[in-house]
Amino acid sequence: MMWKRFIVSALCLASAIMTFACGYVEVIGGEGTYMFKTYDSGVRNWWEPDELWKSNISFWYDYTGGKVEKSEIEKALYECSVDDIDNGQNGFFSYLHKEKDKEALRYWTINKTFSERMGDSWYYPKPAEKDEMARWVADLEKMCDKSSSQLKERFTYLHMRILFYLKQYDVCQKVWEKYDAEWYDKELKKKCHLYYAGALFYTDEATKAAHIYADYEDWESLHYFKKDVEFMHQLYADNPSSKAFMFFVQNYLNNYQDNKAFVDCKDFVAFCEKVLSEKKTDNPALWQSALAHISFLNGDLAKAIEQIEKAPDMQGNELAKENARMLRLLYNSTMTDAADYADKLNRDLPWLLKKVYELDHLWANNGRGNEHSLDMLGRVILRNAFPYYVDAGNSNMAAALLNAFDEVHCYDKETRESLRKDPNEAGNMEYYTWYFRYLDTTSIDNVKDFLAFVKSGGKTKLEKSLVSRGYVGESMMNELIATKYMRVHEYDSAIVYLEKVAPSFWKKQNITEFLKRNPFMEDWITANNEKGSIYKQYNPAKLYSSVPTKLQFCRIMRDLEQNQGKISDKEELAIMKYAYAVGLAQSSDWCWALTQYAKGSYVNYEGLYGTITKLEDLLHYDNGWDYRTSKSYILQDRYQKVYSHLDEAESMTQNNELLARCHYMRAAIELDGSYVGRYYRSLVGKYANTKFVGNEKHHCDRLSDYR
Amino acid sequence: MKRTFVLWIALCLLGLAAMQSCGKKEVVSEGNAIYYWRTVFRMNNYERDFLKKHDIKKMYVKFFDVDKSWEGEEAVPLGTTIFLDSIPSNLEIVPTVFITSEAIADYPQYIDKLLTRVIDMADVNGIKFGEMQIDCDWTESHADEYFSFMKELKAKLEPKGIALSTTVRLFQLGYETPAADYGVLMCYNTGDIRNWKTDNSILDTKDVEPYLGKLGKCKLPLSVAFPCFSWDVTFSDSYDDEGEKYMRGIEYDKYDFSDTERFKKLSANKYEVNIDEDDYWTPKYVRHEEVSLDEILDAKNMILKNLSSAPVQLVMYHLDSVNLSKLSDDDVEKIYR
Repeated sequence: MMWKRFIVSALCLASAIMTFACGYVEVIGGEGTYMFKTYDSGVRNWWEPDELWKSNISFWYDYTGGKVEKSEIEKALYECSVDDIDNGQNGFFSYLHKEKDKEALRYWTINKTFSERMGDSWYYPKPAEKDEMARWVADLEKMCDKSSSQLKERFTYLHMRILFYLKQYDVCQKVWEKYDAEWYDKELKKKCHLYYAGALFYTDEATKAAHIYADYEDWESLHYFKKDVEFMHQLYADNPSSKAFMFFVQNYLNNYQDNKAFVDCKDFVAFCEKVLSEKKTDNPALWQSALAHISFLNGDLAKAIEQIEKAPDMQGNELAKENARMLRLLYNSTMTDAADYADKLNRDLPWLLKKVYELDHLWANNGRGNEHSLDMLGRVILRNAFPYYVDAGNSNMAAALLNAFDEVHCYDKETRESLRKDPNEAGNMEYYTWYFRYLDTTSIDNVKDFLAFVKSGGKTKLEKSLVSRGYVGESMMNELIATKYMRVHEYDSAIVYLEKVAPSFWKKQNITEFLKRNPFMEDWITANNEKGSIYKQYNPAKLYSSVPTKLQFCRIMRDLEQNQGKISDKEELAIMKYAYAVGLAQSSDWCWALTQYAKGSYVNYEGLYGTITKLEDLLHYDNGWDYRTSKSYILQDRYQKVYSHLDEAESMTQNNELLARCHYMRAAIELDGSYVGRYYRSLVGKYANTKFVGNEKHHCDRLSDYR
Repeated sequence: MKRTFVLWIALCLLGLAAMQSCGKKEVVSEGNAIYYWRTVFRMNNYERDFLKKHDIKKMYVKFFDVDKSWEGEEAVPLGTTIFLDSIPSNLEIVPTVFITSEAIADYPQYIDKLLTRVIDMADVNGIKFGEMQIDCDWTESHADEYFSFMKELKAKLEPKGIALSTTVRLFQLGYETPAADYGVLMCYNTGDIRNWKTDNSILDTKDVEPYLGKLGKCKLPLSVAFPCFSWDVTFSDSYDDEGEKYMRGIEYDKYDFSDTERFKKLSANKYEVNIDEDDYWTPKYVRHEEVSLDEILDAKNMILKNLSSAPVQLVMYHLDSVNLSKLSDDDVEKIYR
């Protein structure tokens, strides 16, 4: 049940977090992720030019001896209609007319007419058109027979297309089988061969068809095949090493993952064992991992590990061996009670991290490539290894794992580097990663330890590998440690770390704009000339005229703390206490950027509140994660300290102007709505004659309401 | 025009005659009818025999669907039926086109293409037809568009001497009637399939009852179609805002409910599936739906009693040997009789 809650939370979070975190912190590698992958089902992206498109233009350019511009040929091939062949408006078609090239003109007339009809989704051939197509077929057959023609392979392709459309599958097959010339255009050959496979499929020769589709990695077409064990037996009898097994085995296992309650895998297991024992296949790694994965899906982890152990080293193609290695890592990462857990991870995790890192550009270019590796990495790290190290109290490894994962998960290499050089408000990824969220909410000591750990480079092989794969900005870490000290009001300690932050860092922080707010100018006061006017001697309007504001703020707060012990004048002391309370209250509210990295509140579950809530949802079990320190700060500590300073200020002063401000501040920060009224009533009653209330009531609706 | 007029007169006279026959609703047209709702037109021997044995004179054959394209921009034909078998002789084929309610609003863009396509398909596959049917799951929000579409289509068909019929879902009974020569009342898909509390979404007489009063007011002559199919509706154990289980999908002949370890029976046709705790992907609940002969006959009696005129014809949905073979010849006759 616990896992189920996790999955549901994770799925909800995956969408919820997208809006919150600009899409970086996705829950990937979740329960539904398919684990067995031996073929890349990537579909060509629309912006990638079709190979045939390019080879067609080259062919016809050569055909004209370079006498027609490629751009004109491209227009003729892909923009002109059948009417344009004879209207003299296209250079390519005009050239064919000029050369009296009847053969090519006939080819294009048939091709354009057929393609235009096929391009109309409402088209259905009329009887006359069917007759016309029969004539085309006859013409094309003759043209194909002219072995000397340069156009032979194009005639063949068009011939097969039309025959396939007319469902003359037998004839379509014969055209391919009797083609006896060399193919110059490999793309065209591939297309024709795939039509041949299609014709085989429709004439009950599915096994032959499957081999062809698999050889061309046309996995989409294999989805139309029967995908049961019986068909695999037929494939095997035909070719024990068929590449099609990469598809069918994966398909079976992923289907089993989804429907294992309803599928009896006995026959499949027996088939895998038969294939392995007969040793006819050249890809035993595939079958050995299939057996292991069945055991894993069936919950027999020990057997799965025993079976997968040797699979990566068995004979097999690259994808099958890589798949076996990823599965071995995955299975081992679930062995959280193993004494040598780190060694188990170390065997394959550095390899997978490297692989994902090296395939990074494929993700950026076409949305596939490292997707599965990243899914598996997410599953290994987010679901298994990270929780393990959190539970074990090894915060350094927990953070290092997330750091290494986020380094390949968030954007591609170039974007990451460019964002780090020139970040902007929307693109500052450093603050939205799992890694950052963990550090943001774990204890100060954990972050300090982690910085030292990273600087040491790690001791074990795994530690070293993870540290080398991660990215740690020292200024960012120092700034984070300081911020954590600010949350617990230890300004002295915060200053030590803030002074270590490089000046350039401040300019690229995600919260720079919000740090311009002056925490000593009371946001709740609406009359501008009253803001900060009670402690004019500090010249608060100028306090925040330069960066770094956090450091400035901490120094002022430290001075206010220290000077309180040195001052005997109660009125002056009361004002200092009020100023301190104002700074403290605003540092987590209107000036939230002093203590948080995103605006948040307990109500809207964003910012630090949101992070805490989401982390609680994601890793809901008690894992020793010290986020409660942060939670306590947000909900409780700061208010107690603010109230105690206001209490003291009020008890020391006889100055009604200050007392009125204290009351006004209480009304502004009070969490309990039912208490607010008493402050306003007191302000419009007891303190009605103060200059402050006199000024403020012209601007503040609430005060007016209580008049 | 002439042909439609004659059909109308015949329907009216026969309807009148039927109304006067002691309330017993005789069927107006000769023979029985059935739907063919598969994408490949290919009949096995059982199905060919079924047509002969049960005097099937008319078959509504789905030619294609019309729905918004994948890009959602234009309405396009989808799921075009491929004819791999010849049409049995003495069988009237009614080309039928299913239009989704999402696509009906775009009809001005495709009404001519649709008609041309139906005519071409029939022509190429040697089908002569004198009637065409439109099946659409229109609701109130698309009713006006559907009525306009039917009116225009009828106007285009009349000069060609082609009659036009429409399917009528129970919930569509309360509205005005579209321009058609008659309707086929679908006595199936009567319940809310998405609701776990539904006992049987294919046919439940409780779901039919509320509509009986509206039957008499329907201005269209009606044929009545009865279901002969089954499916399993799957649900997850997560819940929507109203605390209802989410429907996951429909499966056909997938589950072995005799496996009592796996399937815990909750009621006559509802099962809780015993799945692993961490197995999110297997549905937790399954509702097996099929309709017994008694239920079909009950529904038939309720509907026929409330029709204002004799049904044009009785129809079964649909020609599929797997489901039909669950009924005996006598059962089938009881439905058609």
